[in-house]
Amino acid sequence: MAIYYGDGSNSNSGRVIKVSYADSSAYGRTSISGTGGSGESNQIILWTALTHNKLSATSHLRCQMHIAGHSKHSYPFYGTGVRADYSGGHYTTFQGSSYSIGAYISSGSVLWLIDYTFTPTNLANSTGNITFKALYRSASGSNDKPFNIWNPSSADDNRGFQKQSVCIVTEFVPN
Amino acid sequence: MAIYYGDGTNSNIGRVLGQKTSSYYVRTSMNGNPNNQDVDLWNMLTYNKLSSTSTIIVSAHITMHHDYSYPYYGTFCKATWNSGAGVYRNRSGCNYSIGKYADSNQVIWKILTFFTAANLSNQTGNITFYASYTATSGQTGNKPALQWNPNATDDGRGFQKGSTCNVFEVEP
Repeated sequence: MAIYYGDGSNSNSGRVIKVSYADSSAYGRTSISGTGGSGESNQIILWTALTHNKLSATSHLRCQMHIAGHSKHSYPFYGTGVRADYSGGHYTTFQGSSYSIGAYISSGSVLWLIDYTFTPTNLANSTGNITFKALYRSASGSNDKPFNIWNPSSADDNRGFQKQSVCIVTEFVPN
Repeated sequence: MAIYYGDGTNSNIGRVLGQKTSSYYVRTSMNGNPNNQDVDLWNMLTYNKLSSTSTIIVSAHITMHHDYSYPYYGTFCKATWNSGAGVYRNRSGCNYSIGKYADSNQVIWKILTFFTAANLSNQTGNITFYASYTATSGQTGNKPALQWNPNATDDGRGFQKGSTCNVFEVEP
């Protein structure tokens, strides 16, 4: 039984029910690998960002990531994506995931942004632990990657500081 | 005492306690950083934090013009409280892209970050959030761009652009 509020909303829909968040401070500055070849078996999981304990079978999970990179490598390379692992399966999408190499210089910053909402169907109506991963995969090549350095630091530009990446997952029940 | 809902959730955790948004849309020349000092480009907003155990999630979209320092990893999101007596500089989820390697180009600064209760010393009350930059000791004059919030002065085809910030307080 829902609680019905005076503004017309209720406790069962249109609300956020849980938020999870993490940064990449466990990793620090990291040289990243290129894809070993084409296809899923050769993809690279860059970051297992967090595990969200999903409360509702009917909720959606909005996954946002801000991933800091340095030194362009492949471009435009539309092979970055986000994956959600649930009990008994996983769902990978290449939607809502893009990066910009910025200036056409080798030692530039690269900004990879992810904003994708996983539906209950994507996750087989699962509840419980859902693990979110940022990945890249090549359809037809090898040694592809969005940048050379993940989480740049003063080693990449001596004026700056250690940068980190962030993931935020918002579980909400839509109207 | 929490309210327990039929879907297994309850009113004490995983909920949004508050939200605040702000914007600013005045074309502004940006200053380079002095030695060992922050440049607080934008006092984004002051949020009245309700809970000592909550987390603050900050997102911002800051529009700028004309590349200057790059890659320059000196930007951060700063939180202050108690009239500046408390400070936390958050360098996670805070980067900008200068786009094409051309002087007269747009530069986009994105913030997606969070401040845990521990980051904020379990404060409640007013917390002020800034978009800021600085550099390592001895490095001066750095800035992510020349102009903040460009307009038709920067490209005659366009309009006044603005920057936006959103803050959510969530009980994890």
